[in-house]
Amino acid sequence: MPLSQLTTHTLLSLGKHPLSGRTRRAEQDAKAFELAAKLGQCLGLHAGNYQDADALKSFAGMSIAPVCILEIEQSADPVAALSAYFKQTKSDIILTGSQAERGESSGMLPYLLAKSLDLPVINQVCEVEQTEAGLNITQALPRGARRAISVKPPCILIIDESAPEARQTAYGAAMRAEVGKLQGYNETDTDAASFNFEDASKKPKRMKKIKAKTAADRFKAATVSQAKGGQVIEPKTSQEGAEAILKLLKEEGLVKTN
Amino acid sequence: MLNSLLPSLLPFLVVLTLSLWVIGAIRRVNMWRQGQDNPVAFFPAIKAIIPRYLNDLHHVVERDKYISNTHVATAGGFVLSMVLIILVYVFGLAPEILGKLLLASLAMMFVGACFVAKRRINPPSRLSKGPWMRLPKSLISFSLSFFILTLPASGVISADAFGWVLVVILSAFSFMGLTEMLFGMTWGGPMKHAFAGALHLGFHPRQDRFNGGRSTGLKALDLNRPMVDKDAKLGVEMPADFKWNQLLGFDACVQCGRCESMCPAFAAGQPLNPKKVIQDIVIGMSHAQDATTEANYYGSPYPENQGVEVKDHKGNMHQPIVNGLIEPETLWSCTTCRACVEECPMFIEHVDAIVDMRRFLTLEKGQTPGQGSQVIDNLIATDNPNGYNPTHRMNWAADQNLPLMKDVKRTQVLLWMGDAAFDMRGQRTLRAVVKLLRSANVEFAVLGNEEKDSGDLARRLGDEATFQRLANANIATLRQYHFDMIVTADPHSFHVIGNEYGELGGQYKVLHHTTFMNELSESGRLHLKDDLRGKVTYHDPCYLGRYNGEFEAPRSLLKSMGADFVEMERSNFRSRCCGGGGAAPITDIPGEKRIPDMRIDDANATGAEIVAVACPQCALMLEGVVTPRPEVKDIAELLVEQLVVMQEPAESNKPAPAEVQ
Repeated sequence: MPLSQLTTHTLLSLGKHPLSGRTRRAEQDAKAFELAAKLGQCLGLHAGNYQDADALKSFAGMSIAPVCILEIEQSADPVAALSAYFKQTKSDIILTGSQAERGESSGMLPYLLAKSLDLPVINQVCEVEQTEAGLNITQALPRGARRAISVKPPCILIIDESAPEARQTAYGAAMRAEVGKLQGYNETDTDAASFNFEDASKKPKRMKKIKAKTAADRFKAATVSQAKGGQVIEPKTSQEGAEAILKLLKEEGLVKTN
Repeated sequence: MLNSLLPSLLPFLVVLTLSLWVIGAIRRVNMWRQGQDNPVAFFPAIKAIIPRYLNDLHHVVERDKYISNTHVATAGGFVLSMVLIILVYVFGLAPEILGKLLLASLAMMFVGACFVAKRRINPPSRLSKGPWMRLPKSLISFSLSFFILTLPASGVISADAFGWVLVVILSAFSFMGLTEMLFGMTWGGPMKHAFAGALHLGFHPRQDRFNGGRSTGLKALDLNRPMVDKDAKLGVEMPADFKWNQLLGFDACVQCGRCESMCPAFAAGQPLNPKKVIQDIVIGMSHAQDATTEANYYGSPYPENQGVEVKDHKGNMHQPIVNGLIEPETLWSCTTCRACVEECPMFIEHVDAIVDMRRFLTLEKGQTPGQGSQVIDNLIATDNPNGYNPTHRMNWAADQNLPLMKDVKRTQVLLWMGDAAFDMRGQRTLRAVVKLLRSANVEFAVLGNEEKDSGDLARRLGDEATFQRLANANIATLRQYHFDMIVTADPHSFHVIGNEYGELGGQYKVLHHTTFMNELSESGRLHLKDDLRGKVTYHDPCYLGRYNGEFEAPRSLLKSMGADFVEMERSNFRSRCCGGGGAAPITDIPGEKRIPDMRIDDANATGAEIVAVACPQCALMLEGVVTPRPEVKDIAELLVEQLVVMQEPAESNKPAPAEVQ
């Protein structure tokens, strides 16, 4: 299937600046939107209250795709609403961030949505390329490692921190944009209703003793990976590999020696 | 033969070129009118042209004595000659008397033209060549041929002294001269500067600039336009988006290259030449009309312009400027230091034009380069460019026990801290300022965490929306309190609050700390030892000096400390920028050299051991230069070193009421 006919949805949420707490575009969702820019016909979708339309204009100001609000009640479960939406509206690719900046911020939404729609999920996506057969995806692994994955849409992609930076929002384009409105399916989030939210209390932080004497030392401390030890093992047999793992677990005190 | 030729041929040529002049003038005015409306009262503007020419313009030209004398002789001679030529040859008025007067004025013009020719023998690189090399020939041809032809006409020599061949040849030369001087003046040629330049003096977009005035604040943009009119855009995309009198100003450029010789970015080999910026816009706006003369540019190109040739710049009145006429790197190289504007004899406003084009790139395209977009995001989210926690603004003063406006509500001096509050270098200066204020028993307070970035950076990055938000928020905060004046150690805040908040409803008396300290010192409230050791030079911050005309107070303070004071080669209104203004360190366009390195070279050349600065940005830029270099110290820091403490510093900062001018 040629990719120009693909339809892409990017799930957009309202962000919250970690220091000032001001509303902004959610950073990861903006990165997801940026990746979506090269994946056929796209729509930015936000399940929530239409009162947030002005705040969502910062996504529209990226001039990538129209932004639409799937309107649901405050108590409604966005997963149910999105699931109902996608059952009606075909979407080949659903792009999301990995975790919201406000609300429950559980990072579960893409997985729950995938479960409900019976779609494959690929997390930590940092690059997507379109091919004849489907999508070539680069998945970011720890310590800068990368894994190539091929997938045939439809699928859900969760963006990784290392995906390309989102483009700047242009004020004029944002002001001119009109945010669309769709009626969403309301199903009360019974789990959330039982949650008790309270502000996180600040824990005292152990002060770090700075051992570095010179600027060069400090630079090194700040840039060179802190991880020590470890070794790369290429086990010949599964027995050998299992023994190596067991040895490490014993060293770390996670498995009792007896 | 002669008797029949002379009376008919010359008047015919004069009338012909005059008619062409008029047609060209109408076309040219219509071209400018394609720009946006910007009403200027017609008759006062026309009336202002001559006084502004004799006073303001001549004052600037006079910085180069050679050319000012040359210009007086040539231009004065030409204008007088042209009037007399019309009277004598077209209307035949009193040829005996007026003819002799005409001979005198033509002689004056001829002498001037010879000096123009001399300048063109080995012209400095800042001057444009091409048609400009032709100009002295046209001037000489005009003045000499008319002079000889007028000899018989005025009765100095016998009326039939010349054979008809000579008369035809002389008439051909005078026609050549007339073509350059009249036809070229309105159809496009070197003489265009006279027509557009005169009108620009009258219809200048900044009417307050003249007669000793100073108008340097940027004008606010109506941010609601895109909401009201979906087609309206913010900032300037194409030549037709400029105000009509800005286009008029660009057309007045005489390509003397004084801007180029003063521009710090040009000197650093960054892809900016103010003259070329103006000419690129002229190429765009006159494309359809003057393809022959103006589409060619014969001055210095942009340095380091990624292989883009001068001839590659194409566009028209209704095509985007960026990436057709001008590369974005050019616009983002500018430090907004106004050295070009200060030096321009035609009073062209380069910085306004550059900010107008930046506004479009940022507000409509979202294309702010370098760290620009991140800095804008930080300003939006945290009210400071580096994204520090806005509730940590007062952390630097944890040990200072500073009174907050929130608590005192009323004070004499409101100390504006600026973003230097977040920077360890800036904090040293702030501590010094606080110590001086306490020593002089000044009643003062700070806004503390209520203070926000002044908006200077956002505005120079073209983000007018963030500027207006910050400015309005600061104005709303200041409205709650009573104070006599704002004092700040940051010339950028000083300029923006003093000159740019007014349009948004915030009128304040703002003083730079050097001005205020100088008043304190002169009124005897600040006691200074006059034994400052070492040779000291002073670097003028652009936003204090050129923008606001404060050159004296810092120098006076240095002298009162007994400094062995020495000026750098470029100082006062010609001071070279440190490279830190106009968000240039944020957009960070590469060049061959760094601007602060060049400024430290200037300082090293004086043999000074200390460079006194008066701006946190200058301190950062100059201190970032590798040693050996003079020590960089804010004047406030030097003052603290020289301070004689007359009494124990007041603990409570509630001194007896004192007078402050």
